[in-house]
Amino acid sequence: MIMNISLNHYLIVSGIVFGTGLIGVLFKHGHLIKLLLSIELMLLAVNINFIAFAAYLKDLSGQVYTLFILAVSAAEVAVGLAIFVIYFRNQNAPEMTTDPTLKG
Amino acid sequence: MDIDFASLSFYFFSTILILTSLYVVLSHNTLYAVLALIGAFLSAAILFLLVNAEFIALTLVIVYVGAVAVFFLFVVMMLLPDEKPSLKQIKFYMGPMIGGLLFIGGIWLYARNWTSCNEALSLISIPLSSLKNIDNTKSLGAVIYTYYLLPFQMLGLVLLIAMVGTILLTLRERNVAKIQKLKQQMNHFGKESITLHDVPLYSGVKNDNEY
Repeated sequence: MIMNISLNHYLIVSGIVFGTGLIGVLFKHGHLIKLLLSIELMLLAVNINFIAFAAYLKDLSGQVYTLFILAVSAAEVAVGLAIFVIYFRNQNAPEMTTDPTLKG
Repeated sequence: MDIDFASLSFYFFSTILILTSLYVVLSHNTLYAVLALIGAFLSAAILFLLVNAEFIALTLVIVYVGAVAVFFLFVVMMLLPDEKPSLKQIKFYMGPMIGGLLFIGGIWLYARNWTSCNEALSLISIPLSSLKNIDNTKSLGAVIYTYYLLPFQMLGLVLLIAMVGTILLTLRERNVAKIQKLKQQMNHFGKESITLHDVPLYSGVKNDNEY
């Protein structure tokens, strides 16, 4: 039994992680925070793809783009959580679900 | 049996990654979901280490586990009360589950027979062979500060804008403290607050604006 890790292994893993993130985003009555967590999972899957291709093609620019994605998603998380905090403060809601007052 | 350490750890940590990401999506407790996300990031960092991307792996641990996940935990513990799953929710899960599983199946069918075309190999911009005998962090630094200087600076701008936006969104002024309001003081004129009356003898003043 020979186990050699190829590009396909990494692609399948990142595809599964991206799919689970997609399931989380598509949930209609989930928490808003869980929506953000699912987006983080999808970004992680994209990062895995970038790193795998950088290793496979022996190209460093994939790692550079991963670094950029990390920073942009950190900024996105900060702004998203700030929006949640003020939403919670204004609504005084006992639970933060995706309700009709938030469009989109 | 020919199992080397690298492939064994790949299978182990990719299994952990998939299980924790499933837990993030499917669990009803948001706090546990955030903790599972930390596990997913840690195992992804180890997958990055296996393909010699040390700097990205450590950045993932420092930025995500150290900053973003802790931020999530703060917000979750500050805002969210306990929640209970309901049967109504499970019914709504079916559609996204089928869609996501179809997506995963499609990815699997696609990635199983992956071959890269020859043009992809000619599009390589920074080949690793040009950076031999330099470790990962140094070579990334050499690339970022030369080829990718402008995107890197723009990234700093993005983070600055995110910081300003976050502070502006969450800042609220409280009128509890007794502070000298300079603007109000400077825009105040004597004519508005003092009225002069010509008082006739022996009759007194009628108070117009009652204090």
